[in-house]
Amino acid sequence: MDLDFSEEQVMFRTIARDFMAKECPTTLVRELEESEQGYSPELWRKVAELGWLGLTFPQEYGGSEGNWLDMAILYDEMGRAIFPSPHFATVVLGAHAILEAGSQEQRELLPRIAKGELLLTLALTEPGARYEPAAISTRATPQGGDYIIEGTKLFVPNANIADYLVCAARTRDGADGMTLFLVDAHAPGIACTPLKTISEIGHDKQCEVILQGVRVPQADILGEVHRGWAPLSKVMDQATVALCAEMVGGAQAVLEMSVEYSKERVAFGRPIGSFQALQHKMANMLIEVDGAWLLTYQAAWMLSEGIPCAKEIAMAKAWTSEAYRRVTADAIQIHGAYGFCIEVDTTLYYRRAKAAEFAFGDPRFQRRMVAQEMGL
Amino acid sequence: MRFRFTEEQQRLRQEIDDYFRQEISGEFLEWLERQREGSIFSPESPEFTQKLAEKGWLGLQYSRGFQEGSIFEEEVGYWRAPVAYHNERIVGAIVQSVGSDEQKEYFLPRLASGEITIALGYTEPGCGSDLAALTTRAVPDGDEYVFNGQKTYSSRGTSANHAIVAARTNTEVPKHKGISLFLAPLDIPGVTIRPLPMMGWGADMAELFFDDVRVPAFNLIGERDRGWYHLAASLDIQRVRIGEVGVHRRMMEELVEFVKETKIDGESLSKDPFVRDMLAQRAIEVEVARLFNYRSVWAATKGPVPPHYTSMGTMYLRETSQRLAQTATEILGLYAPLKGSSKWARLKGSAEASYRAAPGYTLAGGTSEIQRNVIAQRGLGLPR
Ligand SMILES: Cc1cc2nc3c(=O)[nH]c(=O)nc-3n(C[C@H](O)[C@H](O)[C@H](O)COP(=O)(O)OP(=O)(O)OC[C@H]3O[C@@H](n4cnc5c(N)ncnc54)[C@H](O)[C@@H]3O)c2cc1C
Repeated sequence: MDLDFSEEQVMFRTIARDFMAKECPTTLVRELEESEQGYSPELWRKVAELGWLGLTFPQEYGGSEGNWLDMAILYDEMGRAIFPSPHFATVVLGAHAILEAGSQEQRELLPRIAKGELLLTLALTEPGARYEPAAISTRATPQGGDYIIEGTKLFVPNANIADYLVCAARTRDGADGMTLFLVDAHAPGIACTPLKTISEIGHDKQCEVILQGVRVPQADILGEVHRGWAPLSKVMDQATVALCAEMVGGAQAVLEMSVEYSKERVAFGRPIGSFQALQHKMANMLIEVDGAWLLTYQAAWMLSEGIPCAKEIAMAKAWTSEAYRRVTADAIQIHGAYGFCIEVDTTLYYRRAKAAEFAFGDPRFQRRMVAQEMGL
Repeated sequence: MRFRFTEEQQRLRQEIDDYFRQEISGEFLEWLERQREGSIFSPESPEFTQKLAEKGWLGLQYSRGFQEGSIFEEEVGYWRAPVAYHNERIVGAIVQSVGSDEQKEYFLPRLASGEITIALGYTEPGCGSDLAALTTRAVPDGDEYVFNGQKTYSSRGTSANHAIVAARTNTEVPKHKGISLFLAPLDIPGVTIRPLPMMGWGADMAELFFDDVRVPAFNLIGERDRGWYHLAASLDIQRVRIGEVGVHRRMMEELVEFVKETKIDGESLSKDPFVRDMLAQRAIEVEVARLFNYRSVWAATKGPVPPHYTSMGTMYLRETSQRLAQTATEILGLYAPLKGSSKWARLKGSAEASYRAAPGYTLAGGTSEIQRNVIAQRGLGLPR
């Protein structure tokens, strides 16, 4: 057992933390959340230069062959800094779907993604709002060598700025009748409307994407016809781990903020951190946060090693979602009314935690997965 | 023993209920829903407030009693009536209990008619829970007091025309013994109001700055230097949260309706054992919260309310509010984060709005930690 990061990993984390602290103050986060695009193209270019877009890509596609532990470290830092970018949608969802299922030709997009020239997203969920094959009713019907896609995708992250959608559509009935398509996001018949939600920071910005008679050439099928769910599950597993790591970073940050604040703020002539009521609260927070850290990095490590880890991922998401939610609420309580002001960062983390709770399976869904993996 | 209201009180509730059902409908309701955007807080409509004032309902607590006032307040919450009223009620109670006859004559009718609207100016940047440490000064000068200092987190600070301000009038005595209460107009020279929006809690939250503000001595409420004790008594009333009980009753009804109507794979969501269990639990909690609060109302009709009664009522109700908000989001799942203005929103976005507002519940009017201290020390007699 060794829970230390390697020297390279520590260095990577330091670089990431310093970069985000310098380039991305929360004033910018707030500005970008209000903006239509939701991200900063300038910051995106810098991130590409740092090699974070191709972090996990093979070298031949302009990547640096990092693993999911590296990705977890990056997301941990992005969570801490509330780094708003389309990285999750473009790299973790879009590019990795291509890596999992794409042909040689389709993989040619990867170097352009790594350079920051292309934005992608995954159009998976629908009004049924579940991450299960049965919840996909968007149809792709063959017509003269092409496919015609019809349906409504909902809660699609960053679709408003995407160049390509990886779109899950049903090509026949039944559990495995789902096919992935690489769709030009500006193709005729696509209408994209951003949704107003509790958090519109970075990939929390979601859209409704309506596809009406969208024509997609057969060559743009990603992987095999009817067999889209298998590669998609892998992408979802990886995405869940990245999301957990992002939550861990955020949770750790608010806990640190709470500890610092409670040492400074004085009430009744003593620092509020000396009150047992708050000490117990923060002790509980630490248990939540460290539990989340351990479960998340365990899952990331297993992914990196190629060890099956469906159960560990589900455990990580179930625990971390609830931990993040509770810790962000406790942080506000500890800060008093100051922490409830919109201009104070605790409220940013609090809103993000609610968005992350439901993305890629809420705790109840994940616990069902755990039970299933336990053989119940 | 009797866990019911008298027949006369029930008739009153029915009358109020019928009135709201009829008035808060049609286009007016649509306007209200648009303004609310799912928020649990309704906007204020001065016209509507006026109508209620004419019915005599805003002054029920003076004309008929605390129980009747509470019944009205619960219905206001349930119907999400666009009337801000809680602060006026608190301040009215202070004026009634410690004000002079002239002050009662001047303020009470104006509070009941909605002419005077109130922001609460207690908290300062340097003190919240430890309110007695406040430093805003009020120095007598002829028949006026000169104010200097700052208040913060003042709900309705940008919309009210008066504030009840706790200020230090004596620095020579222990901190609890040198505070006085003033009911001061906000549209006078030297007052600066800066909006300070909080998450999901209405846009009228503000900081109030006082620079050599001159307030007539007439506006000193109760005894000079005894303000802390008047305030403590009024906090008991402030902590009776009957209006919020109404709000939650409504939310529960809407959630039950929603799970009955919503089908997943052809099965109604209300058949899901998890959903049933969660809603049953919340329903029990809302009922207990209602009883805690009516116990305080009942106690208030007999004399001073034991302080831990209202602490229990507030703390339990508000922690229940937070759980209820969480439950609503769990039931809605991926739809929960959608705002009310979205065409995809469920329950008009109320899950999103309540979840955003939820952290404020266990802060406003005394934090959960402070309430637990009161329960332990004043209710159970545990040592400080
Ligand atoms: C939505 C909202 C509306 C409000 N409206 C008004 C208003 O209209 N007018 C007004 O004057 N104020 C208002 N307030 C302010 C409110 O009264 C204060 O926020 C509250 O009293 C707590 O004070 P504080 O925020 O300064 O926190 P602090 O007193 O700094 O407390 C910080 C933390 O320390 C804990 N703590 C403090 N003392 C103890 C102790 N002895 N034991 C254990 N823990 C302790 C607290 O529980 C809290 O968790 C409002 C606040 C909110 C959030």
